[in-house]
Amino acid sequence: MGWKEYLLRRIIQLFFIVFIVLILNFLIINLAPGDPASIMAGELATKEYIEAVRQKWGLNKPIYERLISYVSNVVHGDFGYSFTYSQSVLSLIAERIPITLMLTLTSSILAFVIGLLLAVRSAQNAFSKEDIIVSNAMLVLYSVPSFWLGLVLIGVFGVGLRLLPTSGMTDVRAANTGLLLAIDILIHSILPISTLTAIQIPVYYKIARNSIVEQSSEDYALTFTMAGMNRSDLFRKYILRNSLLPPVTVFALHLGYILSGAVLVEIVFGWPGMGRLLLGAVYSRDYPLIMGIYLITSITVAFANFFVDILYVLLDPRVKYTNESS
Amino acid sequence: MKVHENKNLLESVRDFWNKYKKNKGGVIGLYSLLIILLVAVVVPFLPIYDPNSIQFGSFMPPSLAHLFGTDELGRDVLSRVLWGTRTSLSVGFGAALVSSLAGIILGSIAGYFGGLFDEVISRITEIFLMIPAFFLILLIASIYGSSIYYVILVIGLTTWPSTARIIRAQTLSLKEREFIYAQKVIGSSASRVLFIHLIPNAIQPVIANSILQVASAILLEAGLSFLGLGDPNLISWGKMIYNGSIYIFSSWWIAFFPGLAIVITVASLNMIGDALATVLNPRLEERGA
Amino acid sequence: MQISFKVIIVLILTTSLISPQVIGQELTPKLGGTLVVIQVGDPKSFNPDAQVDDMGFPIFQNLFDKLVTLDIDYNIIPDLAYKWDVSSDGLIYTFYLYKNATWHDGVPVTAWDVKWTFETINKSKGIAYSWIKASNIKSIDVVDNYTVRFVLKQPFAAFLSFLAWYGTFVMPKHIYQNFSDWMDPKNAALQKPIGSGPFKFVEWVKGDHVTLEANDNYFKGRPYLDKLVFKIIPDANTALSSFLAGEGDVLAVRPPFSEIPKLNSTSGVIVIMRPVPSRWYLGFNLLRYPFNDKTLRLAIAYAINRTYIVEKALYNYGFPAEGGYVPAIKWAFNPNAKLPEYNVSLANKLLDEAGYKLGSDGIRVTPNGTKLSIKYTYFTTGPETEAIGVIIKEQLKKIGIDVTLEGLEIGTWEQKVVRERNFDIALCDGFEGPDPDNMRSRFALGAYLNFANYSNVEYLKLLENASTTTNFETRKELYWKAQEVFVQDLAYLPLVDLVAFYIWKKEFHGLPWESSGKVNYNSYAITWWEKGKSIEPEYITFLKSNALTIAVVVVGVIILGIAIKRGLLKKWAGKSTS
Repeated sequence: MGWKEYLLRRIIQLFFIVFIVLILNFLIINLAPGDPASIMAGELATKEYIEAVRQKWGLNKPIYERLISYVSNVVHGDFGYSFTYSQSVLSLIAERIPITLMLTLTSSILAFVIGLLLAVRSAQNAFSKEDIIVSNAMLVLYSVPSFWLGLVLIGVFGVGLRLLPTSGMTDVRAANTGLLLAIDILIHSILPISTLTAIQIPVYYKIARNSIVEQSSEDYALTFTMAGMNRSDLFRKYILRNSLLPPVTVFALHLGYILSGAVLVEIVFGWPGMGRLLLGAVYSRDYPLIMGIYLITSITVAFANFFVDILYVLLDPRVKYTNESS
Repeated sequence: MKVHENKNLLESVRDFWNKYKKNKGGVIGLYSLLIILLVAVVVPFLPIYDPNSIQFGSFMPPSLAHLFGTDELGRDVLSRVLWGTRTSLSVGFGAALVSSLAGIILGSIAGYFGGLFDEVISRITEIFLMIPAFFLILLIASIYGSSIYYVILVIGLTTWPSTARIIRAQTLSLKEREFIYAQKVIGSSASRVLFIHLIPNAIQPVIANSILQVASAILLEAGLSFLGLGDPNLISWGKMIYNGSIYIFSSWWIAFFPGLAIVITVASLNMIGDALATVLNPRLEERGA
Repeated sequence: MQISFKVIIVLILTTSLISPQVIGQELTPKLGGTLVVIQVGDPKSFNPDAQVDDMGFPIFQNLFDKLVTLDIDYNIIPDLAYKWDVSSDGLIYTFYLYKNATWHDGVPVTAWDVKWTFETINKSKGIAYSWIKASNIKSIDVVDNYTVRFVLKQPFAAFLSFLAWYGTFVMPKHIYQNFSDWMDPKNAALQKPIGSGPFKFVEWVKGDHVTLEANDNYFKGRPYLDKLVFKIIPDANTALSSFLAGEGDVLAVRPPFSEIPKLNSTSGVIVIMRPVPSRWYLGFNLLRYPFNDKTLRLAIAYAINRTYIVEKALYNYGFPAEGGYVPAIKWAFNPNAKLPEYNVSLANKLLDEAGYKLGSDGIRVTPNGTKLSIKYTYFTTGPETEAIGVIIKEQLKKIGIDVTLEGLEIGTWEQKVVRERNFDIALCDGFEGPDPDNMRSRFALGAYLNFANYSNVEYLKLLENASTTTNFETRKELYWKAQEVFVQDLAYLPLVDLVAFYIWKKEFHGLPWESSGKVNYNSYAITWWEKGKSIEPEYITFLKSNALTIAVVVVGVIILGIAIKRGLLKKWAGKSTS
């Protein structure tokens, strides 16, 4: 089976999986305890009023009926309307995506680059004292909870050093526009992006370092060394290139979590992204919104997985496309 | 590393320990974890305040009487941090156990029987990977309840895919080997082959992975508690950070020390796991070792 | 009579020093400025009547008007209606509207808008449907363009209070009538509202802020402020730091209690505390043994030290609950219906005598043989709910009851406690205003929120009668009696009466909580900024503030003129001219 058939097969598989996830999402969320109608009706509502609300949103129809209509709507691109905001789910999510992306995409790229640079340095002196110290420091950093780190930074900068804003995306009073607004947002993003980056650097560091070390012990490396090639040439021309695949793979996989990965940091720093949207939706049992968010994130992960598959096809000719994929 | 049927168990262990000792991080991590485990066991006998007693003044900063200060209800923070080891370790190991069990069983079935089993289980694995674990745990914990058993179960059931994949890959390669073939020739039942021969041999890479899963389970539970979804009847570091986050500007110690405890515990586990992975992967060894 | 000229001059000079520049200048409102209010979340949409929207409510108060509204003391004050009559049988309410009120797009506000609004609340089940008893409205008649009449089927004494409260904003018929559904997302007004209030909508950046600006044509006069911005910050901690960093002028998010003293002592910031008609209360599941045993409930009431709860969980920012209704609604509160006082030994004695034997593990056993291990179910909206649970757990341990805490997210709590009635004891909070009729919707038999399954028929009848009586004194008597029954039965045990904090920058005046009798408790219509521009032309301000000096100078000049005319000066200057 060649790579074309393989990719096609993967696309079909992924469609199928997303479909199943769609149904599972619906069931988990709609069968959960908690009644959106009574939450929407508020305190002091009478039973009669709650029933009316339930009818209005079609919540009194049997679950399989709602499932079928939901699925057919989604297939047509209609993700439904939020119970709480008077807006379509898609537009609500679309509003929040750039905000979350600003944090996650930036931090992922930064972490990748920094992690890689540190890894290169460490791997070239593998097993030296420096390498051991840095590697273990990375392990410790990897063990830090993101929200705690965020809190610590807030404590230090918000009280101690008072240099950076500790919450929100903008300074409302200034009501900046254009360039000033962009700068304002940028300043507000320094702390959250730093937090997210710090947490992710160890991941890329470890993968890259291990990959480089592994490559260095491969036969071809030994051969070239014995043939007289100097270390830095060997490194630049062959080892580095060959060891890039795992970290790039991890980066691509992380892209799948680009929308969901910043929940805790968004909450700590008060950024109005996807994470906060989801929490609020869960508390108010805003079914369409919850399902919409899960669906979009699942699709994103599916795409990221597929992207990784393509990467492998392109970059690693050694892989055979038989039934034993992944 | 493959276990050779004919090597003495004792010799294998001693070999392993010698290799492991060389990894400084692994050693530090191991001793650190042992201390934490010790604390978790003996904490009721330690000369510290009752962690639930609210009799002290609230928001007292760290002092000789209260080394880590008191929290918003007047409870001694040091005592609560020490008692929190029990919750964190239970959740961590509990979830990792559930995850590993599910992963081992599903992975080995997929690898050994192949065919439709493999296809179905691999797809299920992918589905679980597709749903962002944290989101799912958040949803389930917030609406189905925050009891600690739920949390362990949910974390376990959302993190098994990585174990399953490893086991599956191991099973695939092992099942072609002679000693398994020999069992088939003798006529051993599939379950016998699986449980007595395959799994014990496939399990090695899983051990390192499982230790890492304990670490990530502890972090997940902390994250969950931080959103307010932790079990209120238990003393949990994540919950302490949640309660203390409001007071970060004035009474910073309430959120700071539990976080530090998390870092130390999780780092120990990560160092152990990393050491194990390195030791068991010959290509990462220092040449000439 | 010739007063010594020297004396006159000295008098003039001294009086001119007492310039009234210090007096009264601060009390004249200035024009201009932006007020930034920090709050906790976004509005859900800008339809003010369709759904419960606690975050939108303060914003709606400045964008829209109601017929009548409530001030900070829960008095009913005029809003769009300057006058109203109630017929003696309590069935006809007539409202007389201001004739010069307009919508932000210029169209006049008329009785037709009122009629449309309330008919739509009825038809589309707006949130006020339940509490104004929309089904009890027989008809809404437009007497003329500015007079509207509500005819009720049955008298409903609290009708006016609920009309003044929530979800009863008058909405623009000419905009909404084009859509069959008042929440139709195609209606731009849901995102860009048109109201009749003192401020107009400018923009809404989701998750960040809502900006309003002054309505120049507001029928009660343009507000002093130029802009009103609601900044959205999700949690108390970040909101506080934002406020302290100068990013807001009013902090509408209650900060953590421990920070209040710090706020109090921050210069430029004022913090005041007022009781509100809200309280935390415990409900016992009367359908479940042994909570149907009144002695057990009484013992638990004796064992809980409400003062200690206020001290520990609320850091003394609150009051131990008194009585069967909130003291903040003064006329309806019966001070003689008292709750049990803290008395642990009495609690233990009651339980001993009632057959709840103390086991060897310190936990009592009911006469039926079951252990008294109970679950306390609360919702996790804030740290107080859990704190109260921790304290109650400790206090009940002293009378041999073991308590497990069950914290649920609010939706799940509602499902479990209110709908399924699957709980032992549960903590709930509630706003019990604006009218004591609230008791009927919360605690009486048949109320949706009556999760304790309190079924005392006498209590229900008292409240129902009070709801339909037109005589104020009779109503009061009925409510007072109802509270006596309530505290006797103890189906619900009130714990803490709450306070509200008002935190703002001292350079702003005319805030709604300082303006009893004038504006709604969320309205910034008469708020002004010290550093704004003066409203009067500058020379008038100059004249006013230097009035006394000027007067003295003028008088002095006149006297001088007379003196010169009379040649007195020469006499005084040159004494030697004789």
